[in-house]
Amino acid sequence: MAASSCKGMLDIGFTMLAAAARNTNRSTSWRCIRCLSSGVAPPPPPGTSSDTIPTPDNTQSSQPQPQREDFRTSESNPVNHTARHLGQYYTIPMADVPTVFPIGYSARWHKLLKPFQEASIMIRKPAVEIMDVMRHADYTNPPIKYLMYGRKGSGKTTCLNHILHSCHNQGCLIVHIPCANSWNVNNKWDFLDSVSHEGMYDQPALSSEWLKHFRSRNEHFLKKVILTSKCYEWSKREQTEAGEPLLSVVDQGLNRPKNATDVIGVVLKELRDQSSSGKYRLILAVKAVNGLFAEMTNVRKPGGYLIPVNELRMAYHFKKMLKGQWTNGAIIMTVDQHNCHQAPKWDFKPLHLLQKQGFEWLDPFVPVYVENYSDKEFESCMQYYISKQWIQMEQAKTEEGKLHLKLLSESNPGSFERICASL
Amino acid sequence: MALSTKFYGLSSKRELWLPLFTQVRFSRYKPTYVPPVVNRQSYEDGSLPLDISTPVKAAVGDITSAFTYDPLVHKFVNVMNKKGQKETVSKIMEKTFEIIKSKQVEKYNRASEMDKSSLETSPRVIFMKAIENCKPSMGLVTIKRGGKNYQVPSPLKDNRQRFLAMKWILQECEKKPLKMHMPEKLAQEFLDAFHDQGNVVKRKHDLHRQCEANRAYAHFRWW
Repeated sequence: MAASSCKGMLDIGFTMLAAAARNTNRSTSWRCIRCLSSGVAPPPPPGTSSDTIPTPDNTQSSQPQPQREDFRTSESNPVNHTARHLGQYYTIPMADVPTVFPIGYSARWHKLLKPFQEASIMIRKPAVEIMDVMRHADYTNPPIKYLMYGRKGSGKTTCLNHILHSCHNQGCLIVHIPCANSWNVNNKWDFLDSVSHEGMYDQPALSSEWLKHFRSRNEHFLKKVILTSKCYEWSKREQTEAGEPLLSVVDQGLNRPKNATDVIGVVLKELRDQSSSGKYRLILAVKAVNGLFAEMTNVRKPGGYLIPVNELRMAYHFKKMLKGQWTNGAIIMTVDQHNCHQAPKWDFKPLHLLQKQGFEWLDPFVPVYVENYSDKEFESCMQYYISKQWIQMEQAKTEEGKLHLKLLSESNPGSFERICASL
Repeated sequence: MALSTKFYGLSSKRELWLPLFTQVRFSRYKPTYVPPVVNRQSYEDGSLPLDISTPVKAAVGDITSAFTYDPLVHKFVNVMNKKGQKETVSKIMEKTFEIIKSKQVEKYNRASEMDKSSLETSPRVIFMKAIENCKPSMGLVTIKRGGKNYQVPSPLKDNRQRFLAMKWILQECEKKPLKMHMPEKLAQEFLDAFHDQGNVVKRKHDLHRQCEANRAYAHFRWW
């Protein structure tokens, strides 16, 4: 029943998206797309705003909450997570964490791994919704773009990681940008005149670092499955023949950082071109996608010239990927206010952060709003922290203390974690 | 009044109010004013004698009735405070608690079921115990007799004991390398003192030993 309703939702979604794409008026299109996530979602599976979930444990929720012990689920495979598991924590074996989340994790989450001696993520509505749609999507069409947005600390990155874990378990090829904003901000000296395009700039250090992670994540695909379609010449003496595995191209970038940015372009082009072959499912995950559409970077040339983002080759390659002119895959993105450089960041909404140019570039996409904790999720988080000895004060464990913490943190996951850090 | 002294940690000395001799520079209030009681419970159960004729001082900004407020922590923050940057110092204190807690909780989650009960994981309990372990019970007072200075052992008041413990901990932190951040330094000191180890506890024992050695001068004490 869930499947059929979801397909219905998808159909409506696509007609909406088509309508949105035709519509030139930005504001109306925004409103149209917006309803996909909030209004059109069928009432049964993900409840729109209420916390009750239509499941067998609906009967349990009438009991007083403090007695709840079900903040954990034994279902550790995110592929099987459904609305039934909302608000519960699932555990990832510690040994798997470096392979599942080599990059792109939230720093505060990663910090807690050590004291907790356990890695767990709460199953939340946005992630489950997106995974549900991904399960029933038609992969012969161009990829659906999912864009998560929400206030600071509301758990966008963790939801993205949750989805990526399920993609990892399904054996997808993952192209992951850990944080596009930090590329603009955190490198002051990493630029070089582009080898292939005059007037543009390469970022050798960042590119080779990205390639390293990309290689270790998808080594299996690069070694055997994907072969180069034509011959690439890197310099007078170095070239990659057609028909060689894509790994040799990646290794070229790692051995010669000068070519690293061009290598990214080649790799992404090959992945795009061969995506319809059906050998792999391509998942493009981008955190803080607004970084790619920002105006300025923090990189200053010796003359004082600030390099704009549209002169960076690496951003250019990934932006091309975001156009979605390929098949058999999905694009999952978040927009983020953190680390915005010289960009408006007082609002968290996509149109504001992406600005008109970026919005039109990504259009049509499915916006998914990541809310703060609901009552059930807050209770579950509280129970988890108490069970892990992270909340120690006796007063905090009382009903009054919980209300107090809820008020202080506004049920925002990030600020709740910060407040609990010293309790 | 008893409640208010508890929450302020100050002495409730009431002075005689003489209009001509009252100093105006250091007090906005006449001595008839009582400090406010920051305790929600006492307003609800009626234990507070709410009397219109007794004027009350204005509420202080950094004392709250929230459960996160602790008088001893507040005192330590005030002692550590520099150049009025209390917000920064409070953050340092919170960070210290976080470090202590993550260290202890890690040990707790790694320990076997047998050892778990013996591990203390609450950062505030560790902080209290650390301060308690650093408090000296006797001190030395310099007295001049016949052109000579004598170090006379003397018992210390509670406030003085508490202040010395805090001061020594902070002085010990100053000796640590500059590259180390303050929360880490403090966390290390508290954990050491909690286990009755470290330089601060050693300093306390040194002082006690000195008092013991100077007991021959005890008769110089007249108070």
